[in-house]
Amino acid sequence: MIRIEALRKEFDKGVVALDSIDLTFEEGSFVALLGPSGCGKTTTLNCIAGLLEPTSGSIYFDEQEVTNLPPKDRNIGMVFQSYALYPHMKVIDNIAFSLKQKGMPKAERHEKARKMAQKLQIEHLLERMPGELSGGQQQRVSMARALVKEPKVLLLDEPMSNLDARLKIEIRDEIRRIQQDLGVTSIIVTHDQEEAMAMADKIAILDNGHIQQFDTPEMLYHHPANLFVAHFMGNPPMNFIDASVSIREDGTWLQGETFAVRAPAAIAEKLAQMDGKAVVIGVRSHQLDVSLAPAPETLELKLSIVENLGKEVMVSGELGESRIRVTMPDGFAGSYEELTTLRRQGGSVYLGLQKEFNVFDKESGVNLIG
Amino acid sequence: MKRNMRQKNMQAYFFLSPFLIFITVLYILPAILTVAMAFTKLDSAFIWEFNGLNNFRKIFKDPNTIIIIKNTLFYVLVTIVFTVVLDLFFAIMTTYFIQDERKGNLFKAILMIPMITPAVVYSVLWIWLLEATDTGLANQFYLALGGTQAVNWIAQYPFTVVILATLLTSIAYGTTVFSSAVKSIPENQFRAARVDGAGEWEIVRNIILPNLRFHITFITLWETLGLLTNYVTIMLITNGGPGVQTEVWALSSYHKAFADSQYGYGAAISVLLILVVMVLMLVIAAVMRRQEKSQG
Repeated sequence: MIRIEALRKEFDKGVVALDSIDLTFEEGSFVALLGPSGCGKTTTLNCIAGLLEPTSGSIYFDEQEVTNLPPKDRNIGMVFQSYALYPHMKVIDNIAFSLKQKGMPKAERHEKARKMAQKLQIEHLLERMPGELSGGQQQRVSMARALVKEPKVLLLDEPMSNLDARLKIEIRDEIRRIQQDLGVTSIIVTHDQEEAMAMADKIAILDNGHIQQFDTPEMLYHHPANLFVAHFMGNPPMNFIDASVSIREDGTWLQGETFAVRAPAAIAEKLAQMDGKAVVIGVRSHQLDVSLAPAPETLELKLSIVENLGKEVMVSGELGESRIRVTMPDGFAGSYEELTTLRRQGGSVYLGLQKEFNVFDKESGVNLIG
Repeated sequence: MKRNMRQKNMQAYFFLSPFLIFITVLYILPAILTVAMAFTKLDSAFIWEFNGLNNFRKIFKDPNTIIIIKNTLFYVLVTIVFTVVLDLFFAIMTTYFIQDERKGNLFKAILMIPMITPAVVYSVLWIWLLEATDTGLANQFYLALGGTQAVNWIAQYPFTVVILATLLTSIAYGTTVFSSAVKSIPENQFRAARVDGAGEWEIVRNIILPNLRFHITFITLWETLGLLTNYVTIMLITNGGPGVQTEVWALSSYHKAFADSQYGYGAAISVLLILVVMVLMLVIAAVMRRQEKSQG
């Protein structure tokens, strides 16, 4: 288990890269640090590795405090974006380098390197120099080098951003397989949400040096803690609709410029004390009912684009100030042709909110439901 | 397309030709003359009289030749080893360990002072510093520290003085070359090594030195070349003396030709040096080709 407490990192000239970071990584879990560039995710990783010294706060590996230990005393494996293989050493010596530093005899460390290379299916490359390998092969060598020392934690710093799209998916599955095989606690830094969702048990979303949310991919997707996370996660992005809370005798209403819908019971309960509050409704593109005819408690969406994505049809249009994207639900009556004709005529579809959606405080961005 | 390229080539040759002519007149012709001269017994009488290999025979018969060869080897080997080791030391210290680039560069600028000082000024400075009387700066220190009598440093330790003086002028170049090589090593290699359990000394040994191997070979050969052919510092400080204690090959060629007016004999000595230098240059070219290949 790895525990970070109140971590803070200031660089020269008072730039605060990280502030009050608290995270706990369960033994054997795979965690992603996700966020836009400059959010502090790599700084966090470097603090865990010991390559950067935090300004304040502590880091524990199990019960041992490692905050001020140099990297060599932490037993970590690390994979770099540029792989950082030692160019003058054969692959086998690259992999065995850390064992050599521990003073392990040559025969023994080569034996271990060979076994690890087998796991990563790079046995045939052991006698080559790094310069003779492709990007994907270098990536595997750098994985083997990080894992051969049986590290307490495996740190991956944007390990796939130098690979092409197809190889990315292959290596992604490979890393996940090896990680589960060895049961090593792993932390990956990435700016690619799809990568994070596919690989990680839990994801920490960072922005501006703060943790926005630390949760399972499932929770991040369906119950984002605030507007930043909601904006950041999911493709297509979540739809946002401005509204205000209006509590009447016949229930709790969400009142927009051109619509009014009654909140389902579970949501109404959370909004009970918030009469008149300005909020933002957040709803995913596939969480809306669509009909061609107007009905009470629906939102009129004037069509501007109809797209056929193959497995589904997506329409988008303007609703007040915001742009809304809707995936047509299975069993929707209208066909792609009908919708295209409707768009050409300047027509609208009518959207109904389902039982589940999110409501954010417009001012603070906090999710009022989650 | 091809024709265009050829036209472009022609222009380049045209612009280069003045320099080619100058180099031909000022360097290549004298070089050919020197080689020709080596087979004559040209002396102060200035009679070009061909005498075959006599000059070369004379070189091998001269009892001083073996001493001069020993001196040359000693001078070059000791200076080169100290130069390269110090170059590496200064480059790694100023570029890897001192993270503040401004301080590192200041230090390198100081190292540069002996190199940019004119050789005559620089050598006179040494002579003055090591003056044999009580008034010499070195002797004043020596006497203040409990020495009983002024020492004639240059006469007593001629090779130490010569090597020390040469060393100081030669470290700046190699240090600069090695520094830029250290700087071009990606930071992530150091990080990877640190994570892999390497301490600073192991990083120097396992990451920095292997990355510099071609630069080290190049500087070693290059400085050897310079030491073999350049005799100015020795000439100005000891002039090969006392006796022939610090006489090296290039200096002996100068002495034979211009002190003893045996131009033919002096030329023969320098022809042998030119042969050695040419072999060295071929090796340098081969090393640089190999480096390009391994990086490309």
